[in-house]
Amino acid sequence: MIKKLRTLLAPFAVALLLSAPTYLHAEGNTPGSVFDSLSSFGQSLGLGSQEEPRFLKPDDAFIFSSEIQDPNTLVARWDVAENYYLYRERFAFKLVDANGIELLEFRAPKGKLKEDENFGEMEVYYNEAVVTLPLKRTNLAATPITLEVTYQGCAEDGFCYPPATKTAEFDLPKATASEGSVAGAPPVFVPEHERIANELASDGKWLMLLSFFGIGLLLAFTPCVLPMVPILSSIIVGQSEQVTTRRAFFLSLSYVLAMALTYTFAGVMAGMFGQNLQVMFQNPWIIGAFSLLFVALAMSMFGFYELQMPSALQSRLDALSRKQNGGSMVGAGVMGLLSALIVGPCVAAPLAGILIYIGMSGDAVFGGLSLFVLSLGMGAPLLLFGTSAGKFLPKMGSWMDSVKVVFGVMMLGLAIWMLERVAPAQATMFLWSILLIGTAVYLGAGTRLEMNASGWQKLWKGLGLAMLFYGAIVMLGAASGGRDVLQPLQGTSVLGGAQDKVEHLNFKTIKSLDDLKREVEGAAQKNQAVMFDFYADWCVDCKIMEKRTFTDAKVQQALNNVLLLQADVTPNDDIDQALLKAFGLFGPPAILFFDTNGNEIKSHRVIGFMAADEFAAHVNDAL
Amino acid sequence: MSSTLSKVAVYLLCLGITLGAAQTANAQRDPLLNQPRPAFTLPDLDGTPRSVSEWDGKLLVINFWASWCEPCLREMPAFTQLQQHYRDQGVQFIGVALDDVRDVNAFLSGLEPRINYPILLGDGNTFETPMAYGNQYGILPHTVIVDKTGKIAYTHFGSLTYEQGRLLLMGMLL
Repeated sequence: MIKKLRTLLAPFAVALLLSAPTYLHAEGNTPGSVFDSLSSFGQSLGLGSQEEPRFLKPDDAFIFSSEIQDPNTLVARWDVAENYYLYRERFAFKLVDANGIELLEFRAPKGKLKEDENFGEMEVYYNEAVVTLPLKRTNLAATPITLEVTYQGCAEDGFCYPPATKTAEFDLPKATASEGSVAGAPPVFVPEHERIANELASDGKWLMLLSFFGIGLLLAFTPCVLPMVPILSSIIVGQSEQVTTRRAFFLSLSYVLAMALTYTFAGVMAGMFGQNLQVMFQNPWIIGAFSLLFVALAMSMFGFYELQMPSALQSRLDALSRKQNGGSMVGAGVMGLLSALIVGPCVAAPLAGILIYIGMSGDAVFGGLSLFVLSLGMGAPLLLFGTSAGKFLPKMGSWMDSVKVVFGVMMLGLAIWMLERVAPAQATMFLWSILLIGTAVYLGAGTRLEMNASGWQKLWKGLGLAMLFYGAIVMLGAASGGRDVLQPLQGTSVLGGAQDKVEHLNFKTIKSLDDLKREVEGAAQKNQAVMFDFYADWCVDCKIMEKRTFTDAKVQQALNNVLLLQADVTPNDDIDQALLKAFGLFGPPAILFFDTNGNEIKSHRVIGFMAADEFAAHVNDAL
Repeated sequence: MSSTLSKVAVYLLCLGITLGAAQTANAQRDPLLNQPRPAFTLPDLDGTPRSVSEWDGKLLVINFWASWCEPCLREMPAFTQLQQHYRDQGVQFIGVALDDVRDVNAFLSGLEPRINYPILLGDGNTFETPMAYGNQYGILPHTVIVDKTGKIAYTHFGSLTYEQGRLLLMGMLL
């Protein structure tokens, strides 16, 4: 029966096949599907001859473009039409007139695996292929080069295009290094010296450095530093009576600067080490662990135990530094270098805390600078004492133990500050209030003053009472839904605090690279710029930016006419990873900008946290 | 007898309608339809020059292909079968490889069943021959059927299955 039906229908089929003599398609690949094409019968009768050609011109199927990413990297890119694909294996790149510049192996994101009957599993690219071409340059000067690119692809409909070769000419700018960075992330392009200047220009950083000087000074008044100053001074300057003030100053200075050198080195190391751990520091568990570590360090400041270098090592360094000749610049310097290594028990914990803090910032330059300033602060009393021949030095006493305790409180504060990133705001507010009240009690807020109390005692009590009240208010705020220690009553009904409605940015959520492409193209057609934000629940900086930066009025105004896209990469699945990889990113936080033509403004990528003012200025600059 | 007759009648009817329609609807699309086939001479795998006129008088199926083109390779076993089934009725397949001779030999030596029609070597760099047959973009596979009078009867881009090929040849042989 079926056979009969077939023979009966066969002429129709043939007629159909013949009816479209030019462009018959692989749609009819399966034997049965010739019947599907009955619908085209009408077309072949002249009812609908405006059919589009069923295949694209090669240059429309695979739209090639290329650009200079940086002096050591070229990027080749293809926009691949729907249902068309390019083979990774058939990519070939070469430099035609390469003088002193050669191509290293190209890098491309992993394509889709396609099972070909004859070729087996082939890696292919649908929609888009972006290939990064690192350059090796023995010629660092600005040079014109010609890139020759070969590629080959096919269509899902069962036909292929011949291998195509394109050339692209570039005026390669001069390079500073012979090879580009191997890490996939294109660097945010700001010359290093400008970057440092920029960062220091922002008031925040100056203030930070100033506080590091203060911390250093405070460290100098701990019981294991201050009593050493006179002894140290006499060793450095020497016993001879005929030392001029000038010479005494320079001898002390060389000791302090040498000590600063050691600390600076430690700061730079911490910053550099931290750079590789940025992603790690987004993890709540790691943050929790570090915050516990801070508590432990604080405990040592309260005298529960002592933290210091192994005594064997300490005494050896001690002996070495004593061998240096007092009274000579070199001797003083070497002693400075070595003494920095002998970290006393009251300095060890705060120093560890500061180094961890710097490590988390991941900023080696700022880290080094901070530690340098800190050690200048620490060295200031010595400088003063040495130069003034012992005139200026506060009287020693048990008050120095209090200075130590201040460090303990500061480190507990640091622990809570870290927890703020991962713990609910209310919980950390409670912790703040407990810290404040505890400190207040320690300051004597709860004890009666004797009739003959000293002025100092009165001052401490007053301060303690203020802290007690503030701590109580914070606790009250926390209990009634407040979220900010500095504005504890905001959002509570006590005192009739009005609830400010916080405006949030309205992001459009997207998932895949295709989504992004579509949205960016759509925006480009409307002449609209795009900001694209990578977000994840486990990304602390992202959350802080959502809370602080994106709620700022200036930022919202700057982004007024900008299409806001956000990809939530919390699951970190294949699609998320492909999206990150497409931009050479490892993970959030990252914010990308696209101009009104739909091109990414690579120079204005934001990687990591950026505060509101800076971010608003950055957006205005970018778009 | 009468069933055969009615079959033939239906064929002719359909052919008449569709070819007529094709003339009007597709005339501007395939300027080569019903034109004499362009002549060419290309070496075979032994290096012997072969002229296309060698197969004049046959229903000639010219298949342009290359070893880098997966859909081309996919349809070749079907062509081998069709060649075998329709040889007696004057059907002749020829393959024109737009490729490197080594790649062609490497592929053919691994092919099962073995190819049973001549393979000529075209110029993979210029695509001169397929271009003469209306393939301006070098799209492969590209299959052209030349009727027994030497006129182009059918052009197809993309791979064909055995079933499609059988229907085509049946129609052409009527």
